[in-house]
Amino acid sequence: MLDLIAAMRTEGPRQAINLWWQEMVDEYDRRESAEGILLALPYLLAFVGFMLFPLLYGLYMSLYDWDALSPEQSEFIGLGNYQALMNDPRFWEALWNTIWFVILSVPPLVVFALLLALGVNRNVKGQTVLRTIFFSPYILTVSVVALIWVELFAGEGGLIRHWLAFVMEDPPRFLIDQTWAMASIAIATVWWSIAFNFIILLAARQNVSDRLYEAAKLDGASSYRMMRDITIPQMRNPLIFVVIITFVGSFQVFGQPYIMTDGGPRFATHTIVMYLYTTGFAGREFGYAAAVGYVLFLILITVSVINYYVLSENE
Amino acid sequence: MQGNSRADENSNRQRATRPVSGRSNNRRRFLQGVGVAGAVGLAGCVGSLPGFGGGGDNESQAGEEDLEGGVEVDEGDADIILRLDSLLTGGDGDPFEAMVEDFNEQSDNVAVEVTRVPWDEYYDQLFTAMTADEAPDIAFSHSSQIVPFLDNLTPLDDYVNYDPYVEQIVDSVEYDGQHYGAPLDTHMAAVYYNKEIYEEAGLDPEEPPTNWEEFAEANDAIVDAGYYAFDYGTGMHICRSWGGWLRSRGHEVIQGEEGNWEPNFNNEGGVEVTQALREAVEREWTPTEDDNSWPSFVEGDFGAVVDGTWAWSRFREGGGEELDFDWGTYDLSLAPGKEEDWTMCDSHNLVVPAADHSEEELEGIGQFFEYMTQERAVDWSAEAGHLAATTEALGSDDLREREAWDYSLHTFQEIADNGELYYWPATQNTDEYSEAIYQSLEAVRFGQQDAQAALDEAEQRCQEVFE
Amino acid sequence: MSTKSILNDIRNGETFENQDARNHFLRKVALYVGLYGAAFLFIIPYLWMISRGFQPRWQLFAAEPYLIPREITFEWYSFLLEGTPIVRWTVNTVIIAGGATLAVLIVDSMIAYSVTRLNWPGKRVVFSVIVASFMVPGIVNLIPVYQIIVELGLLNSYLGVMLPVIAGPIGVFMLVQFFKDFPDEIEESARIDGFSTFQIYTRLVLPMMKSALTALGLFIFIWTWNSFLWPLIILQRESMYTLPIGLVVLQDTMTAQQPGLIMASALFASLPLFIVFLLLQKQLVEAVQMQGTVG
Repeated sequence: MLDLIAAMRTEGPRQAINLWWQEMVDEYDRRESAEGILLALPYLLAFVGFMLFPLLYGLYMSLYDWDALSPEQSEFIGLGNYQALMNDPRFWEALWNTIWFVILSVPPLVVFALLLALGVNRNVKGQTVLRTIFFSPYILTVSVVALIWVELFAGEGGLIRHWLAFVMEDPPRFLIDQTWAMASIAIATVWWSIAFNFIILLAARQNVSDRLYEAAKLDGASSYRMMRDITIPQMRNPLIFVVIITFVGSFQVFGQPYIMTDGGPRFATHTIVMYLYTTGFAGREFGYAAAVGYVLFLILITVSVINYYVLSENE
Repeated sequence: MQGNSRADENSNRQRATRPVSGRSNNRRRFLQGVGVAGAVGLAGCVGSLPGFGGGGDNESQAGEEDLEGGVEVDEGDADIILRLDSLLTGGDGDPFEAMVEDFNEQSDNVAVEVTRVPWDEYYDQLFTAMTADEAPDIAFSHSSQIVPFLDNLTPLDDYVNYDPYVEQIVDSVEYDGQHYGAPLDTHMAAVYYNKEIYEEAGLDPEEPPTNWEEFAEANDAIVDAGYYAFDYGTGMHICRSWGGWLRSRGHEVIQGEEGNWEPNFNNEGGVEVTQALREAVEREWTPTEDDNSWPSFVEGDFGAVVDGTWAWSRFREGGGEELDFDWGTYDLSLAPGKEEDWTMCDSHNLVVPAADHSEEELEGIGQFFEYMTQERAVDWSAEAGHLAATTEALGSDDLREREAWDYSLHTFQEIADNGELYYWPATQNTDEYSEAIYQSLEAVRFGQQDAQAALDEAEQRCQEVFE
Repeated sequence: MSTKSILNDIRNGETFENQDARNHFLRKVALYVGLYGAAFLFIIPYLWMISRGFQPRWQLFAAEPYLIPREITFEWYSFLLEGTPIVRWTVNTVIIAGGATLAVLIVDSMIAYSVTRLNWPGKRVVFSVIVASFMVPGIVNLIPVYQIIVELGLLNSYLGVMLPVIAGPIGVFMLVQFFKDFPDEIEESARIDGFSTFQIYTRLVLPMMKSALTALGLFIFIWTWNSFLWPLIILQRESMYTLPIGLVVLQDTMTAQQPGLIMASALFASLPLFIVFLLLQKQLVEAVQMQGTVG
């Protein structure tokens, strides 16, 4: 492309385009190009229609006071939605709730997954059974997970409170207690989504060459040192991937609070995606909801980039 | 006091209650009043599980379709076929659909097709269908939910005769001098009580309490007899008691008009009625956490519960098995320090959400609305248990001869006659401000906040909603 | 099992003679306790789901919960099958998940083949954009994609649920990694033998890439089967619902909570994928690991 522009200056536009076309013809086999584009086309259509275009369309919608029932009557309001968003205490509340959920869920999702992966990787008896158990929640849908945990957390008739009552005076009322509700959702989430991280980290650990450990053993390294100097650095890329994916996933939590608490008690579990969903489909503010989506997008990109730099710099 | 509710493995008299959990907080539970048949009758009557109960008269259909209900119309049955999305299920869905079939039979050129939509998704789905221009010809709207739809509803004054309706009811669908819905009924809550327990506690079951002092005395007696005295529910259900109580202290929940609503409950009356909710728990009339008061009531563990007109259809569907004891209903207007009698209510209205109807179709719709809401008002009231919306039906002897009258309808009629009906204020964001209120009221019930703090918080949240 | 194996280890020459051996032993005990303890915690929710679905009312509503049923009932399951559209929901879910998987496999393998094997102008830019879109969280596009689906008249249709799944970049990215390794020699000799591009794609590439395709297929199938928010918005009719939405609506529509029925529905809804899981666990693990390597 740059060549073309340069050529336009020296050779004049018509000549330049001719030259460029000639080059293209030389470089690419026509038939092959046609076939290649044809094969790529079905996906590209879906990709443009339901990924690229919506990304721009959403930005466009977010600049309007969008009238969902008659879009042609939407009113352009510039950054009005974003401004309103910044001044909406409910947005900030949902954002803090979400960040709280991220804080509660990401560390256990990464750390426990790592511990389980390292443990299962040891030559333990019943390795396959253990792996199957830790991996199995992966196939469950969020509704099933949420409904099971609602039953487990239930006040009377719930297993967890019943068992806790043996060891403590007044067990927390998990889903209806403001301080516990989000933690309860995080517990259910850890049980559900640790599977993915576990499998990735297990594979990563299995890819670390045994020879490194043998050499370290000869040097008399403690297992703590081997962990710090071999295991973690060797697994760095998968770990970064897991951390970023987990952050992104936790920020978008929806099904669990939607089903388990519907955002309560007293809005303590009202997350940002729930906020987007309710303003969009119950409040009918599509422009506003699109703006929420974009703000979330920016947050996620920032968090991912920060994660990436912090984690890669560390070693 | 837990004596009676202790688990006893070998007895069938377990507490049939479940604690609050999960979506009990659901703002959409508000709509439960649309008449979900009792799931409690399950043991005896499998088909009555709500949402999927009874198949109407569609014998031709088989399998699951059968259980989903609805009314089907064949192409060519009539010149004008109208689609109706119904949020009624089970208990009042069946009589509604039977009435629609009667209409189809007696009408020469109009037929109405009914599809059931789960009530908890109803308004979101009505909205999404409207965004896609796929709204049904006829939809339901509660009076409290109508405002966000107004711009897209067809005014009905030219097609429906509004004279027969009770003025107060029809006011709830009037905006800027035009009527946007045809009211099918009014529904509200009352206290359902177990006369046998009242008797056991040494109370006169035929003289139920009429004010807070009497109510408190009765409740204490019932607790002493080993039962929970009553339950006002969680989620939006709380507002049925609280809203009416607040109103009878002279305050509307919110005041003003669209674009300028102000919360009006953070005051002395508001604090007192809110404290009453906590007092009920502290005096052990009401269990701290309980979402299933109706089943407990059915099991005979509760002296009384707050429930709505729709409880009748559960009773009817269960063939009377569900409540195998002597029961009655009394007025919920029991606020401490009440100045007047008010009861919170709402209405089912039939509305026309799409704008592109021909004059002919609109006339057909008008005929259908008048048939359902006026001609059949007595049947609707007697079968579904709601209060009829027309003056004639309310005063008719026919209604007084129906079975529902003696059980519950007469109380609701008295409530309407003696006191005033208080429509929960309808705004652009009814669900949101209601949620702000009942989440705080729940916190009071659970003892997590005191009344004043809860109302402060609810007030602030309401203001945020209305901003 | 665990104690026995530790004892075995001890017998195999590990004794308490020195500090190291003792430490080793203790560490081993801690490892087993930790792992099997965690495994026990992990299966409690399953036990609870299974057990509650078979308990009669008196146990469900007893003040003291029973983890092990004293008495078994099938009433919840029979009601589930006879009184709810759960079978219909299962069929819907199979159609949507199966359809989306098939479409993704076809469409993604075509473009992956094109990108790795064929030369055409703009290829590199196009592929970079696809890879970059990996960073776009699905939720950003919720509102605009909804608006597009509505304008296409696809609200309340299976296609409306499937289309955004097909647009996802992950499959393209995964397959490109694998197709890169397809040996050039085979392709060249095939060309010499007169195979057309299309024939090479269908007769050589697809069969040889079976494991990658299986892994991707499994991943997409499970993903679509389990998706919640999107079908919740798009599907309007009870008769169109998928299992994840159906379960929640089933719970919400009940006046009273019915833990037995809800747990029965949860088990019923999980069973199909659970069977897939047990049969194809190895491929499933590969599918997840592939994403790890992709990242």
